[in-house]
Amino acid sequence: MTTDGTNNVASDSLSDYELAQASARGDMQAFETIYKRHHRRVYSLCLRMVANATEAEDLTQEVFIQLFRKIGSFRGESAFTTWLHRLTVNHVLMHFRKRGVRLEKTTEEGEIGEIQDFLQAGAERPRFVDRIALDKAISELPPGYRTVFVLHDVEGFEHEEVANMLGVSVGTSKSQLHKARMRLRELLNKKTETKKETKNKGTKK
Amino acid sequence: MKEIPSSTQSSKSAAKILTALAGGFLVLTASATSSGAQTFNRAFAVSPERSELEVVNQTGTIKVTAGANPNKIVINARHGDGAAKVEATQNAMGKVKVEVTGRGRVDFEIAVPASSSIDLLSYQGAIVVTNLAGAVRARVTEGDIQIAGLRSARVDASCSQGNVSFSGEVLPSGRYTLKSFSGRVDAILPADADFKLSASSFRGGMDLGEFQMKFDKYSSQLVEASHGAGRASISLWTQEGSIHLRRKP
Amino acid sequence: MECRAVVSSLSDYLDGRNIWASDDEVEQIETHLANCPACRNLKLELSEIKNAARELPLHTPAPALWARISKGIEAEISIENGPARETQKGSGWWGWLNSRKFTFSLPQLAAAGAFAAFLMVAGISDIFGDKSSQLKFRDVQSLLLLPEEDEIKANLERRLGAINARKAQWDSQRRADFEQRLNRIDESLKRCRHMLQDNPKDAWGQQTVRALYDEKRQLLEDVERLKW
Repeated sequence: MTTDGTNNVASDSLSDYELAQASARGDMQAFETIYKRHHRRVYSLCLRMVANATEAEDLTQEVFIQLFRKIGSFRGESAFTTWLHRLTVNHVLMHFRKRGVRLEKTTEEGEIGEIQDFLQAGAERPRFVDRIALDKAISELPPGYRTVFVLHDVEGFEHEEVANMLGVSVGTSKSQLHKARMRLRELLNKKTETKKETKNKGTKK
Repeated sequence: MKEIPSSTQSSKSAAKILTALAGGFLVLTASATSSGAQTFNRAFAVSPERSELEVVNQTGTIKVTAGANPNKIVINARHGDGAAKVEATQNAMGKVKVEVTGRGRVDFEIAVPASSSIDLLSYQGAIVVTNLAGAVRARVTEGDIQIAGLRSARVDASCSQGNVSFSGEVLPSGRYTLKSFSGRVDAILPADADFKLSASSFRGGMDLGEFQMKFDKYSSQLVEASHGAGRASISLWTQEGSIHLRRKP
Repeated sequence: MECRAVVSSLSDYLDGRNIWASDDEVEQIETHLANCPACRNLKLELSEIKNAARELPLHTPAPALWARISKGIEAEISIENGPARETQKGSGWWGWLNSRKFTFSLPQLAAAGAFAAFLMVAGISDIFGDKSSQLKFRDVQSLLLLPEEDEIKANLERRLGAINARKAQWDSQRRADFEQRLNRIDESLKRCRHMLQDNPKDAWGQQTVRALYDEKRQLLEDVERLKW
């Protein structure tokens, strides 16, 4: 179990389940250890879903306060991280609903465009998926694509679960995921070409 | 049912020409002291309703299939390298036991009445079981297990290192357990099979897509589902391999 | 199959669940991929994206966030319990514990069974006091992993003892093989028991630990039947 540099040697050796039980009995030190262990993943998940640091921090705060209220109900029937991530996802989705962010329908650019695109990319294959670039590209996706991509590819939920959480069909989840990946590919290719252009001093595509 | 005495094959013999089930082939010894390929042929009279076979092998394959004769267990063993000793006995109840001791390779081809119950163990080597209708238990430490053409209500196949594959009928009262610690598990079942499934894979993932099942639990590591009325029970387990559920073509 | 059809099926193909595809369709896709460098390239790129998604960097919020959270929690609690109570950490929290209605914690403790009994006996503050009592706490927890675990372990030890007595007579290859297999199972057991300790009610975890013990028993039984 990794910890985030907590000085509390005693808490370090306890499992999430034990810490959850302790927190439920009011042990703030235990809850702080839980925070230290898991806050970065919660924050990263929020950040990727909303693509805005301030909003993500506010959401993280809300999630942990909600977590404290609910932590007594964690019965250890699944991994604590799974439980916490579900909580986080549900909270962010509720946030989207309140803000009127529509996830289901995203403007569909012609598939024709996509095919032309990759056929032109040619046989040369630059190493272009660096994690920082991908992270940035994710933030540039429309919310519908981004949510499905984050839930499925980043967080590892299955399509059945994603569909359930978003209230869409499994087919929609799958097609959104595919479009998200295709769009990411487009965005990443653009970045690489931009890099090449600046290197070659303004060579046209 | 008579008791047939056991026999020992010495490893020091010259080349022999074999005309066993697989057809004729010639095996020559490499040197005077290494072993040749000897056959061991035994037949035991059994009653089809109470036919039982147990085989314990060290190294080598074990193939068991339904034989033409419903009243006999026919054992053919071919020795490979080493000095293995094969012993075949039949107890008062008619159960036939074949046991290999010592270090050496022995390959078995055994024909049994289709209704026989069999229990096979091999340390290293494959186990192949075909066309039986009785209970099948197969265990290999290192090697593959292939079970095909079965109409049996009880199958228990497990291996530590190797792939396990089962293809056969799924009877309503049936219990089928396929396990592999580090290999892949394949179950190939009829499209209208009626079963409860419990499939668990720690690392390798599962491919269960060919059956439209009703899921109780669904994650990439544990699936509990049912197909049809869910009468038979199928249990698939692997720690490090993958699980595949396929429809019979 | 044409490019367009293959392209739109690529994500499903990569995700490999095959809930949609027949072997036939998969074969068609693979045949196309073998002959179409552009589609092959695309498949590679999508697969890199999918894989990279699993290794994205972790982001860190502002350090002040925890302070905001704990203030938020305290604020909630004071609203619930009225103004006349302590809000600082340490003994204040135990006071809070006494005054607050923990209606959900009793069923929880009951569900934990003997674990709860241990808590009652040891006293809650002992558990988080010093390290040595925490070790005891962990030991109790680990004994309760599976109800029959003690018995399973005892049986395994007995069988292993008998085998170890004969192991000296095996050749080194066989001994090495056996020990390697045993170690692999033990490694997996250690890992899965650890996971089960985190989530004691996890049915899958319990099943896996049982299956691993069974595999170990099976290995020992093999050695016995093989008469080594």
